[in-house]
Amino acid sequence: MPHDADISTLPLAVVVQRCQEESERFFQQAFNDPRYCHEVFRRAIVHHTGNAWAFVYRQYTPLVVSWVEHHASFAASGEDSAYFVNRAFEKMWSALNADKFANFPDLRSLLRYLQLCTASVIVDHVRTREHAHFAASLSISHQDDPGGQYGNIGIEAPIIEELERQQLWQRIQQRLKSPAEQRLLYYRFALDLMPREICLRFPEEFPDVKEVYKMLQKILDRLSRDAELKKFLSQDD
Amino acid sequence: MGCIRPPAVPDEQLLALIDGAATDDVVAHVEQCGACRDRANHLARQQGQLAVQLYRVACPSPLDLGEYHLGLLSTERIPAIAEHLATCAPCEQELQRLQGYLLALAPTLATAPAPAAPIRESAAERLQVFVATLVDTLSGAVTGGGRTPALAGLRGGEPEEQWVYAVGDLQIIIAMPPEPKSVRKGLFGLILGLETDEKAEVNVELQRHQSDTTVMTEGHNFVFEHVTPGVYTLILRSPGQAIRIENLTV
Ligand SMILES: [Zn+2]
Ligand SMILES: [Zn+2]
Repeated sequence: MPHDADISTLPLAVVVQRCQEESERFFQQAFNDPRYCHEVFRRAIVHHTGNAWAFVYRQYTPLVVSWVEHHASFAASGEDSAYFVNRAFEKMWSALNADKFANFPDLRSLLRYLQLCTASVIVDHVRTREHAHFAASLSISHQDDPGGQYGNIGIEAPIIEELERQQLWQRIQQRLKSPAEQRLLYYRFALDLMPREICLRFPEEFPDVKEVYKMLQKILDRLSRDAELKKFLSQDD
Repeated sequence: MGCIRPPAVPDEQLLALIDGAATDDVVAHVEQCGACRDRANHLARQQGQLAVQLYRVACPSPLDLGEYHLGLLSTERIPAIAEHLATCAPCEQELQRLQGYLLALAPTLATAPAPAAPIRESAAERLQVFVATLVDTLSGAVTGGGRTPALAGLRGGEPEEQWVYAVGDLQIIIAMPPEPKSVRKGLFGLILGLETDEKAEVNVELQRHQSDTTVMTEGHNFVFEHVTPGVYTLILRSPGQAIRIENLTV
């Protein structure tokens, strides 16, 4: 068996061919040497070798398709497996670099990371859909209420881009006066907990629901007077 | 338009009204008072805007959660994610699903069939190394039925799930009960099939990257407490032999 050092000096075509052969053995449940396939990943990720990337994509697509189809949220996603397969490879390429590659000493660890990327892109998709449903539920809540009170709150602004959302979150946190206000805003809006739930779950920090409403009112009042934040908070003004 | 019966209902009471938590007199007032009703609607919109834009805004990305689980995150990022997980039910649930998903896919990563015969880890050590394979997963209910010697009661509670690994005549049963108010778990094990005099000589090692912990068995049980979620290798060593359980997901 060649040493790892020997493998790293072989021409890519040879490494790729051995990876294919060893993968065949793997699927036949025969003893196989995974180092060649690991080496192809290494050249793709550490050396940015385009042909190595292309080979990894081709070689592992069927496996990633099976992983996608195995995921519990895939069937209801409304996307085909190819969509998630592409996202999973993109995720892996963008997440790994030469430094991080050191965490992956063998093929097994790399493939497990690819499985993680597969799950991640599906969960990203699920989160986006859940967020849209959440926004839709607020825009129609109480609309059917015959009295129309505090109804049809009419949240029609589109969900802003993730980067902008993070900036908004930072900006809002800077406007808060105390760690307690920060915790309350986090519980109320980032975790979507009602004040009553907040008191139940964090009784030491927030023992009294009336105080929670008072603090919440102060926060809303301050944020609504902030010129930068106004566009997010005051549709009707 | 002004309040029909000043003073107008204070904002904090209107916020409670929006959540359905107002007192009867506030409800009655707002039903009749257009000004206070307008104000309640305004606050509801404002709050709704925040709720939409800040929905799960502080949640780590699914990839970060996964890297946390696999022990790939840099040490400075771990506490923030652990703290978040302690309060965020959706992330905790996503992490649990991810653990189950990776566990279910683990067999597709085996680069060779589990060796039937012992393989030599190192010629110099002349150590026989066996790889234990997962043969069964038991829910608490099944265990309660007496199919296997229960790990329940080891620390009082009934473990929800148990994993049964086998190698040769030995069985290793693992349970990982969550610890209260923590993302960490206990890791309890029970070795079946050991000769009485072998028990004293087995020690158990839990490995993750470089960090090793060693605990001697007490009788035929072993216990690790406060185990951070991640993927571990469990090694049971006795003189001249080692049994490995790989990809043990806590
Ligand atoms: Zn009024
Ligand atoms: Zn979260």
